[in-house]
Parts: sequence; structure tokens; C-alpha cells
Amino acid sequence: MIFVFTKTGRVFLAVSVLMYLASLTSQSGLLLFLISILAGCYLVNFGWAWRNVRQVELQTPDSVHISEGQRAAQPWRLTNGSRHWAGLIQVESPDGVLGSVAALAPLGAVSFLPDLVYWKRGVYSYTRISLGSIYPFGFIKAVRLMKLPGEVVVYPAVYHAQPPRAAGYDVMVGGKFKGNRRTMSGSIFAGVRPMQAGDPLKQIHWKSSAKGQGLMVKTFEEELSGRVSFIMDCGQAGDAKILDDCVRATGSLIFAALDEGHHVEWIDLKQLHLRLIPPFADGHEILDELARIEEARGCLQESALRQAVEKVSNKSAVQFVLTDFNAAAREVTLQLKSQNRAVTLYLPETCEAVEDLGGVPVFTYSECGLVERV
Amino acid sequence: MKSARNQLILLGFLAQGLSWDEYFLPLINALLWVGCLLWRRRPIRFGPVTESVILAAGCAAGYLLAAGMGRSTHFFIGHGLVLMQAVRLLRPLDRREKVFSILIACFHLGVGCTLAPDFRFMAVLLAAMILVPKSLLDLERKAFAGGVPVFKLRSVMGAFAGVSGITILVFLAFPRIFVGAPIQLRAGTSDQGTLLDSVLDPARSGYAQSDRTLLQIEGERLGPLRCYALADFNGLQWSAEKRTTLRRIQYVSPEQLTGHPYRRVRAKQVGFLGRILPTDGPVVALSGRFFRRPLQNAHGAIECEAMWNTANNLYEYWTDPKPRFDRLTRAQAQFYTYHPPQSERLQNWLAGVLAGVTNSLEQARRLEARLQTNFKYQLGGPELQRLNPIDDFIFNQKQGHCERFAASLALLLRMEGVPSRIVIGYLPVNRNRYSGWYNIRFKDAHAWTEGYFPEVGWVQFDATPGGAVEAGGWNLRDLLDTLDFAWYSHVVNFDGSAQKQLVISSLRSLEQSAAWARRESPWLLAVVLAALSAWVWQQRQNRDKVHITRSRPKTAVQAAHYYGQMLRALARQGFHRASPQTPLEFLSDLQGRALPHLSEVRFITEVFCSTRYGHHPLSAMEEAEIEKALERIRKGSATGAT
Repeated sequence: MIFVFTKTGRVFLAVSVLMYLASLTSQSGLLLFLISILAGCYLVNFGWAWRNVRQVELQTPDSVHISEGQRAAQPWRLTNGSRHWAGLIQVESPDGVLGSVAALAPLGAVSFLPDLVYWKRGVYSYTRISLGSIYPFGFIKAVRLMKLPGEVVVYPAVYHAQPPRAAGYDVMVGGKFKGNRRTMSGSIFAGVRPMQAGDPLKQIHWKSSAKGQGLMVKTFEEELSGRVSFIMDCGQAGDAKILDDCVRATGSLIFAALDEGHHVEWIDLKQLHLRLIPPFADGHEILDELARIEEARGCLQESALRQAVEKVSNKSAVQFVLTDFNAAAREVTLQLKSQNRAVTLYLPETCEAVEDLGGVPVFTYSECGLVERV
Repeated sequence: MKSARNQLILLGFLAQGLSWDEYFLPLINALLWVGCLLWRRRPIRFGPVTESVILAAGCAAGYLLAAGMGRSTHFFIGHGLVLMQAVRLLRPLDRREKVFSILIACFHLGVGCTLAPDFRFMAVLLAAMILVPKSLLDLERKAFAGGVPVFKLRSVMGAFAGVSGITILVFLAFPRIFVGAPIQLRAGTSDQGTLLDSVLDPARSGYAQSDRTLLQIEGERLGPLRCYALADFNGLQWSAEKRTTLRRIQYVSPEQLTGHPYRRVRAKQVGFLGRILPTDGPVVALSGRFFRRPLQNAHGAIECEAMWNTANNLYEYWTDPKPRFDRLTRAQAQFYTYHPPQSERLQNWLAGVLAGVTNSLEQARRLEARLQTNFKYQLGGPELQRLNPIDDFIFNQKQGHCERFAASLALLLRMEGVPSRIVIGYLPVNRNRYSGWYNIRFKDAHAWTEGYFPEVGWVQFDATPGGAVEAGGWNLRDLLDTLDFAWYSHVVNFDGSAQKQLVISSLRSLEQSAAWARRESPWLLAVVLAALSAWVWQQRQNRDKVHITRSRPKTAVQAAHYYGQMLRALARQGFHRASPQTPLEFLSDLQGRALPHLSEVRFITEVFCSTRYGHHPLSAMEEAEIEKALERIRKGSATGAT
């Protein structure tokens, strides 16, 4: 339990001290009476705020997952365990006031929706949530750190983006890209052909086979999906906003790639841990990991970039989503280009113009979009 | 006007007004407050610059007017703040401005407190004890609930009781430090004429009829209190001796003080004492803490080297019941009998009055009686002739204030060869019936004569006719005086020694209570057990009530009741809620249909949902709103039916 003077409390304390100084030279002791009234307010405030905070309990929902710019939709509940009125209660986190309750009846409970809008991705743990009360006079605030289990995970706000360039197309049912060949399985019916040895019986197209030209089997369009690798820098620029924009851009590109039916691999230069995401995956895990990315300066180094490139698939198109562009990034980019790898650069809009990289496409990202740099 | 903050501002206005006078400015300030609040039909915003100008103008006007009218200029800022507060009463304030207005009100109350007004100020302080916490509470709860008061008064009564109790405790226990302020003496022995004239002669000052209390004295059979003696007579004017001898008080050991008259004196206006401690007899022991080095002069008055103000200006002394007198030397006798030759007419008149009386003491008595009976006491009489004032007084005017009578008798005694002097002091005539203390007011200032007779020493004569003495008193006034005394000694000037005394008496009371409890332990034990049983029983009763309340929250039931009434009213209009529909679904369904009073239906539905499912308490204001909305829906229903 922590007690702090509120701004009003500090002002009135200063006034009390001034009054006391005045009383030293004043013949009247009545100034002390005035000081005593204020002292009474302080002491009552201290006691009641302490009782409030001690007796009121907060029930939170389990971990909440929301996106940037949203507020939690699940109600929280305050319960007054005492036989006295409680009031002027604030549920706070270091990021702002979650909710406030003016009055809580004895043994009563009240539910509220948190007012706090989470504008920034990240993990907001409930362990840092505190319950404060300034009841009744607003001079002293009693604060209790609740140490509750659970957290609010704020996903980066992904936006619509053009799907990134893919490479290393493989056959995959549901792939959005059409190949030249016919396959025995797929979602787009291409036609029939005479049955050959080894064709499974279930592929027989009985309707056409009944026409007397022998057994015919179904063929489908070849469906392909590409491979896209994202290599993300975790804050070389040292600017939290650019990192957030970078994370948002990465998330948006990953989802665009997944929607296109590509295999996605992504790796961040801090952990250098490769994540493989099959096409049409749910994506919550990706967002969860993107939400938890923390800033790490100095990770955009040649060695880290080479390790990352080695870990991703050789056939994949490499997308560098960086917060800065330095010599190491340039070196690795040119090297990959010389190996005929499909490489794309995504840089913050504040990044200075990049010299010609031999035709490597360069995009810039901002808070809410991607633009190709010509 | 109902706002606690506004009421606190009014208290501040009244307190600030007291810095000017007791009635005029407080009344003006109160009228200003009423006017501003009644005027506020539409908010009037002056802007911060104009408000600052008004503040500065108020300060300047307060200073200039106070200086011009001889009032205290110390509190001119307060007058400016009054104007600014008044201007801000004309518009709604934001939270910061409200806090500031409470601060200003506290500042004004502080001004009132430093003036140490009389016991009537107690009402202001008691009101402040309620209004300061209430203003703060209103401020916070409105900030929390968006302007809607959500507490019931009963829920915060404990807070007010707590504040009141703690206020009294803190006031009693707060460490008192009084640095003190050196007083600017109004007069001393060197310029005593100024003080005496201002007190005795109403033509020069208004103190002669002033009811202001100068001293309060505890003691029995109190005699006239002497302050100064005028023994040097130049034929026209009496004055104090230029050089008088001061000697130490002949202290008597505390063991021998038994039987000596004891007096305890509280000086309310130290500045008017002029380094003199009024006493009513030869002092044999003296103590006090607001003066230094008291000495006794040749006329028996106590003069101090210095005086200053303390919280309680108390002194106590013991007098000698059987004083010895020093015989006058030849030179002293000559000094006390000196007078220039007087007119033949006066000599003849004196001889006529004293015809047939040879004893000096009897002669003095006859002269005293003659002046008392044949002359008239009057305050503010016309000036006497400068060249021959006594003749003018005796033969022409035959009226005047006490100093003229004392001076005339002293001169007449000297003409008869009796050493004499005029003594200035106070007559203790008003004894409070409730407290038993004598109240010495400014108007009790008096002058009398002392004559020296070799066989008996100095004898007092009071030639002033009875008008100077106002015997008796009014009960209510005594009561007010008692209140005033208690107010100043126990509240305004409650100091460290009083604190110590309080602790000692409390401990003594505790000891006595403990002894009583030991004596009455069987009965006491029985009472405690009975009380304990009653408390336990009540707790159980309360617990049962709480169970009922928890199982069926009253407000939720009430909200469901209102929602049910609304559904019935809507059903009469043909809008039926399907059983699987939630309240919000029903509401959205109604939005697509031509329903009058849709806003009322939405309001009731939202309140019902927040109360029933969100567990928000239903406030009295919401209940009133719901009932009005229901009434409108029902009227719509009735119209539809017809």
C-alpha cells in the first residue's frame, strides 16, 4: 500500500504550512483551528482511502487480446467487501486510468468497461494494475498494487498491403497460383483424361467413363504457392515509433502473403529464431509474437543478417523489413541479388534515399501504409 | 447558494469583512455574494485578464480606502480577492478554479482568525468545520461522477464526524510555538498624559465610553486599580514626577503568602497598559510572562522595563493586607503641598466650606462630600479657562469628568497644607456573575485623590459624583462576557501551558475514573456485558439484512420493475416483446418502427441493462428520470388507445 499526496493535497498542505508560519507571530490561536480542520480532512482521507483500497477487490477477465486503438471489451468488476461505502476509486495502470467508480455501496459490486484505449502494441500485464482511492476529500491517494494474473496483449494494427513478391513456388492444394500442369487433386476442375496405371480408383470420373470410351479420371489445375521470408530488424533506428511502424508493416505483409497462400518464414534479428507459417494459418500466434517484440539496438549487423539468410529457405523471396539501412544491409542485399534471389527492401519513410541496389525494389512504410519508392 | 463551496466563499467574505469592522463590510460582502449568485442566470465571463485587473483594482482600492479611513492596510490583498471571487461567482468554474476558490476562502478565514475576533466568530469556525470538508467532497465526487452527486449524505456523515473529532483533537494537541511580536507601546510613564487623556477625556478620544475590556481580574474584595500618580502641579496642570524612584518589590516567601489577597489578571489589551501593571494595593509577590523586571514606584504603581504580547497575557499578584507607610520627608511634604497662590475667592470659598472643622482628615472628608453632592459629573464638558481652571470649575461650570474633581480636591487639600496627589487607574465595578471575574473596561478608567496624613498615611478620596460608577450588570451581558472569556482563554489563546494543564487534568480524571471503576467493578462488568451482548445481537441482525440485500440487489429489482412497466405500456400500444428477444434486440427492433417516445424507451432500456447486468446502482436522479419517461410513454399509450 502506497500513500501519495494528490496535487490538491500538496497545495492545501503548503497553505497549512503557511498558516502555521503565520500563527507563530499571530496572537490568535485560531489559525491553528483552521489548520486542524485541514489536518482532520487529511487524516480522515488517509483512513478512509486506506480502508477503501484494502476492502475493494478487482476481478479482471483472463488475458485479453485486442488490436492497437481498441479498448478491452470484457467487463471488469469491483467488489466492496466492507460494510461501509467506498468511493472515488480509480483502477490504474502505468499507461493510464482504466476506469473509475464514484461510489460503491456496502457489500456491493459494480462492473465497468475499461476506458483505456491502447494505442501502442505490446503486452500490458495485470501485475502492474493498481487500485487507488482518494475518498473522500481528494487530499491523499491510497494505492494498492493488485498483482493480478493475466495481461492485455495489444496486437499491432495490420493494414491492407499488396502481397509481397514470392519465389520457389511449390504445388499445394489451395495455392492461389496456377501452374501449367494438371494434377490429380485440387480445387479447380480442369477436365478428364483416360485412366492410366497407378491412378487411384477414387479419381475415376464415372459420368464420362459411362460414355463408352473407357475409364476416365478427373484432373485439376495445378495450384502453386510461393515462399516468402521476412527478416525483421528490431530497432536499429533506436526510435520506438519506427519500430512499431516496422512491426505493423511486417504483420501486414505477412498476412498479405498468407492470404495469397504463400509459405511464410519470418525471423527477427534479435532472437534469430525462424518461424514457419503454413499458408492460410490463423495468424494469432504471429500477432502475439509481433506484439511482444522489444526494441534491440545494434542488431542490424552483417553477421546477424547472414545468419538469418542462412536460416530461411533458399528458394524463398527475401523481404527485409528494416528500421534503418546501413552498410551491412546493403552488402547482404547486393549479395543476395547477385545470387539471383528475389529480394525486397522495406524501409521507414524517414529513411534517406537508398542508392541504386541493382533493381532491388524498395518500399517505404509509415504508420498505416506501404508505398513503393521509385 | 446551496453549494457548499459557495457557502464557504460567503464565510470567507464575512471573515475578510471583519478586517475592516464588525458590521459594515461583512454586510456589504454578504450582499455582494447574494447579488452575484442571484444575478447568475446567464454566465458572465470576463476573461483572465479582466479578472486580474479586477483583482488588482480591488487590492488597490482596499489599500487606499483603508489608509484613508485609518483602517488596517494589512489585508488589502484579501479585499482584492473578495472582488475576484465575486466575479467568479457569476460563471461556472472548472475544477482548478474551484480548488482555487476554496483556497481563497481558506485565506479569508485565515484573515479572520488572525484578527482574533470575539466568540461570535465561533459560529463561522463551526460552519467552516462542515463546509471545508463538504466543499472538497463535492469537488471530488462531481469530478468522478461527471457532475452527478452519487453519495447519500448518510454515507459521508462518518467523515464529517471524523473531521470534527480530529479537528478538536489536533487543535488541543498541536504543538504551540509563539515567537511573539513586540508591541508598540501606546504610552509609558514618560508620556502617560496621552494615554490618560485618551482614556479619561472623551473630547480627545472615544475610549471614555468604550465597552472594550482591558483587564479581567479574579479576586475578592478588589480595590481601585492604580496605574499612575500625578503629583507635580505647576499651577495649571498636573503631571507625573519628572524623576521618581523605582524600587524592587519586597517579595514575601510563598509560605507566608497565606492570608494575603490574591489576584489573577488577564490583560486583553497589553498595548494600552503602557508598561504599567495595574494593581489594587501594595504588592508583595508578582509573577507573569509578558513583562520583564517589574519595579514599584514611589506611588505604589508597578512599572516594567518591557512588555510584549503572548498568547495569554496573565499575571498574578498578592497584596499586603496591612501595609506599612513611609513617613514623608520634609522635602517630600513640600513637594506634595506645593501650589501657587490661589485666588482670594477660592480661599474664601474653602474657608467657608471648612468652617468649624479643624482635623485635617475630617476637612478632607468634608471637601470630598461637598464636591460629590454639589457638583455634577459629566463627560465631555466644555474646556476650562486656561488661566484659572479651578476657579472656573468651582464657581462657574460645576461639572466635568473625574479628573477635574480629583484635581480640584488635590489642590484644595494642598491649600489646607495636606500633601496630596492625583491617582489614575480603574475602578472594578463590574463583576461577572457567572465567572466571578471582574471585567475592567476602558470606561472604568477613573481618577481620584490621595491625601497624606501623618497618623494614617495616604488616604483615598473620590470626589467624583456617583455617575462615574455603573454598578450592577445585565445577566445576558455577564453571560456573553463569560463566553468571551472562555473563548479567548480556551480557544483563541490556548497555549502550551493550557495544553499542559489539560493533560494534567485529563490524567487526574483518568485516575479518578479508574478508582471509581475499581469501586464499582461488579456493576460496571454487568453493564459492559449487557452492552456487548446487545452489540453482538445487532451485528447478527445486520448480517441477516445484508444477506437479503446481497441475494436480491434492491436497485436491480427496481430497474426490472421499471422495465416491466415500460413493457406493459408498450404492449398496450401494440409493441410486444418476443420472449427470446434481449432488451437491446427489442430496442433495435423498435427503432425500425414508428414508435413515439423512442428516446424514453432507449433510456429506460439502457438504465435497466446497466443496472441489471452491469450492477450499477440506480441513483435517485435516474429513478426520477425513469418515472418521468414512463409517464410520457403511458400518455402516448393513452393517446394511441383513444
